[in-house]
Amino acid sequence: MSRVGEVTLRLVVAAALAVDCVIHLMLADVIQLAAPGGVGGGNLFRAQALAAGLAAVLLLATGRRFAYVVAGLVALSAFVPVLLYTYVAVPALGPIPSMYDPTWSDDKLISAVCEGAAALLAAIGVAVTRRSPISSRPSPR
Amino acid sequence: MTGMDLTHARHPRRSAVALIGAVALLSACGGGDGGESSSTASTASTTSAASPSSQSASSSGGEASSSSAPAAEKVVITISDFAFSVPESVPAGAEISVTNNDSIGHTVTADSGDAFDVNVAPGATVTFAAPEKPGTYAFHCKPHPNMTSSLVVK
Ligand SMILES: [Cu+2]
Repeated sequence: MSRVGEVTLRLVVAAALAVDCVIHLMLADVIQLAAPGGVGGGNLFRAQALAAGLAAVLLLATGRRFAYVVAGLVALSAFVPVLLYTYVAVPALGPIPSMYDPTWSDDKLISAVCEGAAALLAAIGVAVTRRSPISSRPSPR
Repeated sequence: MTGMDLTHARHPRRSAVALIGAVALLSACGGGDGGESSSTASTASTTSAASPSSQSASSSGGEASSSSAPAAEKVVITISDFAFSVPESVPAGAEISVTNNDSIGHTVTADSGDAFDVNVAPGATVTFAAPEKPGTYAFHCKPHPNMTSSLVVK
């Protein structure tokens, strides 16, 4: 992939993770009302927001294969649960409260689409980046 | 020669991209954080914490009223399977008890103004006073904006 292509991919994945981050922060207070048990749905949403924000910054700053792997895993860590908790009434699992919600709010839909897109595009990023992407770098001392 | 120039240009460009992205991200996240109503969330959770006592009180009161007193005083909103069951109308100022049969928390939140906004924890019953002013009050659940209904106050 061309350098312009990689940077574009990087920006799109980071933007999708940024949406994931912002929506999880916005919804943290209300998910806490819906899922007050255990560690609290609000804290889980804030943790997801933090992970997405860090993954986006890491990816923007490096564009490395490792950063695409992290970005993809973080995106999946939101995308899989949002689908699971929409279609399956998962009970509380230890410290994780039940976050079942069969409804689709606009915010939920937007974040789920972004998470799915981020996961898919990050996988492409993993495929197109070499293990050491800075190939022009002089060989180590 | 041009190859050299490109290589030199790479690092500044890369860090500029990273910087712009990071700044945008941080400001966006910061904005989202304060956006929602965190104050109502904390006050209302106190209300729902008091629910177990009101739950037992209202259920025993309900048993008694079926045999002796007329049921006019008893106004109940029930939440089951992400849907509200609301009486056709309620008297102005009536005490309304809200029972949540789901294992997920819900709220009963007036769409406009601050007519009412109560949190109902999973399995809990809470009470609130109907507005004094007659009218139709559309309401929703904050975590589930598609859960909507309306309260007719007479
Ligand atoms: Cu609800």
